[in-house]
Amino acid sequence: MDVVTVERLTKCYGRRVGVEDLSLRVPERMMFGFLGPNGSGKTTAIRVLLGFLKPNVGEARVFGFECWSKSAQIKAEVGYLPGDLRLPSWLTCREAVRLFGRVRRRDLTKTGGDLAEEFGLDPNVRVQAMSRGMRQKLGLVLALAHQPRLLILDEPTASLDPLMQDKLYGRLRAVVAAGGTVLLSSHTLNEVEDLCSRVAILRNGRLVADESLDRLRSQARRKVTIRWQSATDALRAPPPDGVDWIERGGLQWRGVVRGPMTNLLRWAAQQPIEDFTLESPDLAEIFRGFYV
Amino acid sequence: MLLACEMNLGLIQKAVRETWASTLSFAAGLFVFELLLGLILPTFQKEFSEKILQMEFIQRILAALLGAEVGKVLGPAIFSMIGWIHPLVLALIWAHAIVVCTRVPAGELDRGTLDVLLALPVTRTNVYVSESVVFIIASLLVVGVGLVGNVVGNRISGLERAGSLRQLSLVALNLFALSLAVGGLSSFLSSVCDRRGRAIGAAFAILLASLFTSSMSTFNAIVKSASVVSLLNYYRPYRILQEQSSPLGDMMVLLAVGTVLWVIGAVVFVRRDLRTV
Repeated sequence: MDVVTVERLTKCYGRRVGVEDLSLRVPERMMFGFLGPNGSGKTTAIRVLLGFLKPNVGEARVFGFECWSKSAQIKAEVGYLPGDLRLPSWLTCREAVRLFGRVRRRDLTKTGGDLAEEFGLDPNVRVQAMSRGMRQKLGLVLALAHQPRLLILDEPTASLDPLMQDKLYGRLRAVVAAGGTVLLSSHTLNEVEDLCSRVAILRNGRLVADESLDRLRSQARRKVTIRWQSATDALRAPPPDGVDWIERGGLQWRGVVRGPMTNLLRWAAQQPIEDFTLESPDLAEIFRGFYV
Repeated sequence: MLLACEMNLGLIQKAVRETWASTLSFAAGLFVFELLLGLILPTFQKEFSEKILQMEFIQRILAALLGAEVGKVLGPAIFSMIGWIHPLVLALIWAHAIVVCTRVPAGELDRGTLDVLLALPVTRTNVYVSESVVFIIASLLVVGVGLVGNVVGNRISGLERAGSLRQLSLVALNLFALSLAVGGLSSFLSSVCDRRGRAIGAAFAILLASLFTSSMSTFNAIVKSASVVSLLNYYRPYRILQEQSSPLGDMMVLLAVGTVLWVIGAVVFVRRDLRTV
């Protein structure tokens, strides 16, 4: 079942296009990466999903409900962390959990308290006295406390230290393992690569890729480095097919493999090579390719 | 009944938490001012009537302020009324209504907290209604405390009261209706503006124009005909205290204006795109 369905969505701000003709599906129990450079339309798409913006054309559905008209029902099962999180300055974590629980008509004290403890957040400090990282942690506590079926996170690790990032990654994996779905908007490519099983990439408001990570990896080109036993061997050896050479001279050759590896491996086995290195596919390079 | 369905206890708690300090400040300000006025004014009454009020110019200014002609003798009705029509009293009531009613959505948009608020499972109508309910109660409190200050001040000073407690209460209710009308106007402006400062500025500009129109209506026929659209034209303590007329008609006009603007504001808020600025 798809948790999020976006069909031919277009949202403009006056003459400026936010997103254009966007179609997207996010299946249940998946960590879905949402990538794109600044101004590519990620936040606009998220805002449409949350019912903040009304689409000009097309429609967006979450749990089968239309996002604009059934926004309140949808948000009962959604946890959201905005990219630029702002909270009332007088709030403490304890007050926020109690208040949000009252609005949601659920007691969040236990789960909220556990999350605050896990993230190392003092429940009695006011927002005005919190660092950016602490505010981000509070935002995460509030997004996770009601155990939502769908988590929408916009740059969740932006202000977190590496230790806290790991804790969050663990928590997100647990959400998916428990049957939840995570829509993760991020600029951190490694993060998306580590966590997500599928990614959508936006550029200038348009969807330029919507692929599983495995498929993207299979499309990625591997880098090969060969170190010869002697310069004479290197001079004598005929270069194999299927490799675009970046450097070919002296004792070391470096190139990028095109297509299947079989030819290259068979060729290498017959050469007087001292060292042969194949690097794993560089997804960051692929992402950057989509960005430019 | 319909409004009760749209209320959310958590949202009301949040609104109360964010407005109680300003509401108490305005209420305390009004109480102290009414009390002081009640204590101080009697010392001027005789001298004022005998000297200053004999000047035609002063009579006209008073008439402009009160919205009614005054005689050459300053009676208790007029003195009681100063506590209700003094510009500081109006400023406090207006400022309270504007400060509270421009918080959502303009204030939340402005400070960027609307994202978190609207990510909760509530409709925009829930938010708007809950905020407005808190304002209505807060406004009643501010006006009520002002009335208590007025009565206590008069009692302590021994000033002969122009009207019964019932009449003073009617004046206070008329002021409450004015406050609700200003609240409706502010809610509407808050819904159409992305910046709270703009909403506040527009509300004050409209109210100052209203004050100007009402004040100048005794001097100029054209302004007088235009004063029908001024909110202050429907707040006339003098008529209640001196002529003992009922403020029901004036209150109905103020409540109708406030309600219409409030409903338009609600419709705009529910239908508009919301982007934090």
